[in-house]
Amino acid sequence: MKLLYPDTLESLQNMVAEALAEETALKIEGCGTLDGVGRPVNAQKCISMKNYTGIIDYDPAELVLVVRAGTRLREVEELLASENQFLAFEPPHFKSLYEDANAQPTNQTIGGVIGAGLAGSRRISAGSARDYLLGFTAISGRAELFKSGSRVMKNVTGYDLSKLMTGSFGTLAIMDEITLKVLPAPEVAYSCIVPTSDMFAAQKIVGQIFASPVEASGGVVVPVEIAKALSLDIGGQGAAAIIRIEGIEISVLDRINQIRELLPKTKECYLLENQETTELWRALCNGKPLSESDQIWQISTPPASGPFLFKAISDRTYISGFLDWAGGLVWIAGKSENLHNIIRTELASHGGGHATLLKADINLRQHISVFQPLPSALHALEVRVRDAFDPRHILNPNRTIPAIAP
Amino acid sequence: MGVPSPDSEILSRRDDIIAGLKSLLPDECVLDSLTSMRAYDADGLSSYRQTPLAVVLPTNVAQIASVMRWCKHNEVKIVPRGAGTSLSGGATPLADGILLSLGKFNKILDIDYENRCVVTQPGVTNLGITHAVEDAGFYYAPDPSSQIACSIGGNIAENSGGVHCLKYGLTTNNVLGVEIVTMEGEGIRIGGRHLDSGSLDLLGVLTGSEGLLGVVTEVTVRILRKPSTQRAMLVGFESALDAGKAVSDVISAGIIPAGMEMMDNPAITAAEDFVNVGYPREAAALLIVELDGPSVEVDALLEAVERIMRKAGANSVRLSHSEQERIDFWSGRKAAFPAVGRISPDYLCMDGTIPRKALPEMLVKISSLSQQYGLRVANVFHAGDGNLHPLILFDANIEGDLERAEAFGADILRHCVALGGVLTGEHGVGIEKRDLMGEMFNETDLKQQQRLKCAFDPQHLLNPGKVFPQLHRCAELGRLHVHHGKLPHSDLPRF
Ligand SMILES: Cc1cc2nc3c(=O)[nH]c(=O)nc-3n(C[C@H](O)[C@H](O)[C@H](O)COP(=O)(O)OP(=O)(O)OC[C@H]3O[C@@H](n4cnc5c(N)ncnc54)[C@H](O)[C@@H]3O)c2cc1C
Repeated sequence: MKLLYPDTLESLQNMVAEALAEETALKIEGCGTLDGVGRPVNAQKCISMKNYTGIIDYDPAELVLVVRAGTRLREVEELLASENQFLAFEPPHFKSLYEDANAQPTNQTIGGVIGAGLAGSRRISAGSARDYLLGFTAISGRAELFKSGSRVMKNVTGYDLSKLMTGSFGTLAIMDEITLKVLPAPEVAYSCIVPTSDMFAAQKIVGQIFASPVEASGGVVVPVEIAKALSLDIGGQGAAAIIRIEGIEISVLDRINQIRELLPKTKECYLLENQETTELWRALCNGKPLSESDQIWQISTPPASGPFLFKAISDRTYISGFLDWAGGLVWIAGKSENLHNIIRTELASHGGGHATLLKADINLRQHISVFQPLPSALHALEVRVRDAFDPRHILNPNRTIPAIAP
Repeated sequence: MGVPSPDSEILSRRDDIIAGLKSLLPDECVLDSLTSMRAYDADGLSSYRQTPLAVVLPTNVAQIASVMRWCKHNEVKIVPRGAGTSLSGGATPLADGILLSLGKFNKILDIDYENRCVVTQPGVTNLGITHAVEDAGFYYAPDPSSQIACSIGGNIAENSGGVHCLKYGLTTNNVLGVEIVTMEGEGIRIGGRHLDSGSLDLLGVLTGSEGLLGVVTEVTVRILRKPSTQRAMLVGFESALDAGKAVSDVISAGIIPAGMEMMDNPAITAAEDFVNVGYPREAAALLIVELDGPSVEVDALLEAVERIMRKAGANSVRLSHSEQERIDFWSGRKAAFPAVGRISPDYLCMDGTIPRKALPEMLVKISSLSQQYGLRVANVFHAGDGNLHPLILFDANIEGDLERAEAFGADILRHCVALGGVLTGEHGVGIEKRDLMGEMFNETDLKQQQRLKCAFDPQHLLNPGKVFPQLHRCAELGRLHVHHGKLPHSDLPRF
């Protein structure tokens, strides 16, 4: 595959125009960290955005950051930290998840974060990448430069194409400049760990806390093996609820007391302070306890369904995993060749939602649907929306939906 | 500005169209007399009135689907309508189209506390959702001032905001799923009680699409637990410029209040005359800042905010000490539009957004434009997120006043864009700002947006004439013009 490294808007636009004229498919990547997500792309050329870098503007007082798409996530995070700000949607760093599959050292780009629509544990309280992309400019599959959105906090002028770009996996357009909303970082963060007999009991606690005014910024349920992998001491119990509280210190301590009052008398809750909390949630967001596994799924489902779905799947095959998003995100790692069928059937009968194969070898990704199959009318609509941006299917064909046979 | 001119061929088919609709719906669901349609001839942009061909009021989704299928087949345009409170003319009827009212879709379908969401029909009011869950201590966060009247379906279509959006986000950040019926008459579900879709975020793009992509027939929204404490602060300033700067200072200090609103002197006086809750009449500007959370947090942050305000030049600061007092503090702000309605026969409400730091500059600009046009203005701002609502006062009975007010408004919006802002922060483009879209977007941008429209409604039958200044045929929009790897005029700079 021929690698192309645009570093100016003109070069990027010309590359797409050329591919369009020749009708050759383009693989689009940032640094390739997330190469392992989605279906394999068959293309003659690859546009790598790794040289398309630079901070265009950072205005902390306006809570706005403008970067070129290839700018590294880590660089952005460091820049924001220097002003006590952060990306509230907590994009996971998936590098460690795929390291084996991808020998080259990689480094996630902001374009990749938006393109994959990533969000960490704070999804449940602060939102996802979609909620922080204020605007962008991009080259469409028609080789045209267009923009949408703006750099102000509130904007309903025209369709909100930022939402469409988020999670589109490079199939609509290649982003040039990306404008993000940033937020003040919390002063302190504490975790409350509540050991319980099993995941259902833990989910009950998480559900109770999220239905209270505590304003937790994360709610996770882990079974004992995952607690062990995270070096959490859960005193011989079968599972634990993990709650994260962030904000100004006086408020965090007060809310921890509120949590203690909410808990049944028999339940203990122990605390992790700042540093440990940061590390723990990084590990959870990045799926670290499962990273050794070859097949990993993420399932979004109504929060209360989480433990039931997890149990139903584990009754049929050996899996490990945990629940994030207050129960609404089920992480599953397993080996079974049939895992995708088990997940899709159990999901349909346990609350519904969508399951995405986050990591698997190329063979499996080629042969099963990596993303949740859509009902036919919705599928047809999605194809038409895609065609509106990339009528010749030159951008990442096959990545999200099987390419139409030539 | 203006409503599109009707197609006489369609007007001549009026009787057939009404007969066709009556074959699909019970008679009482089709209004076709002038008197019965009067209540529907305008939305909140009431200077623009037009009687539609007919008004249909379906009672179930199958009826909506059959009406849409029939209209597609017969090439009849449809304007969806919720409660008709749009301020941008989104629900202004078309003389050669039918108005599809969701007024009878007024039931809440499910309250799911376990998953903290509510499934509702689109005609339920925004406040109706909160009312349904408040006994259990929950609420629906986005709170447009029109919340007692506007429908949740209209909120989705406009991506409405409210005074608490600073902390809790707009509609788009609080909706989990919708069911839409497309122009094909097909029902499509997007999202549900879970987060995100795992494919293209069509929910995100439907939100704020102003009724141009599909008719929303069911909505699932997130509900939140009421914060344990909410307290508000009223801060008076002698100078509006200082108040504008104070807003920036609070955010810069890393504090995101639940809401941070600003009113200028004409708005303060009008509101105080209306609700009488002790707003400082002499102040040039008033800020209302609300903080919520545990009481220790609220108290600590209020102290910090007060310090910032004093430093910025505030000369009066009042804190709410009871829930009633807090509600009183807000009552003037929430009633600002009707209050201004009492001091002027008519007003136009603008809705641009600018970067916060440009607030002082914008205030100066608005007052100089006010002199230039000889029209008074009362300013109400969602200051925390830079969203402005200058209310331009005029008298429609004075010849040329409406046109002058519109020209004044357009100048304000142009200036918003020049300052790095946008035409509309929460009210939508509709017909009101349609002809200004070129200020923000070039032809390529607008055509790309219309291609999206073509994916949903290739015949432009759903709410045409809104949002886009010029309608291009979908076949034309789909054409590619690339030759030998070169774009036309690829030598020209693209910015
Ligand atoms: C006094 C006053 C105060 C206001 N304050 C605010 C405020 O604070 N914040 C704010 O954001 N807005 C505010 N608004 C504007 C308005 O209330 C909102 O835009 C509201 O969301 C409109 O809802 P509606 O049900 O009245 O919709 P309508 O006015 O009936 O329609 C609005 C648009 O939505 C479309 N639509 C309606 N229902 C559907 C559906 N089911 N499916 C598809 N399309 C549909 C219509 O075609 C139209 O384009 C205010 C208006 C008034 C009059």
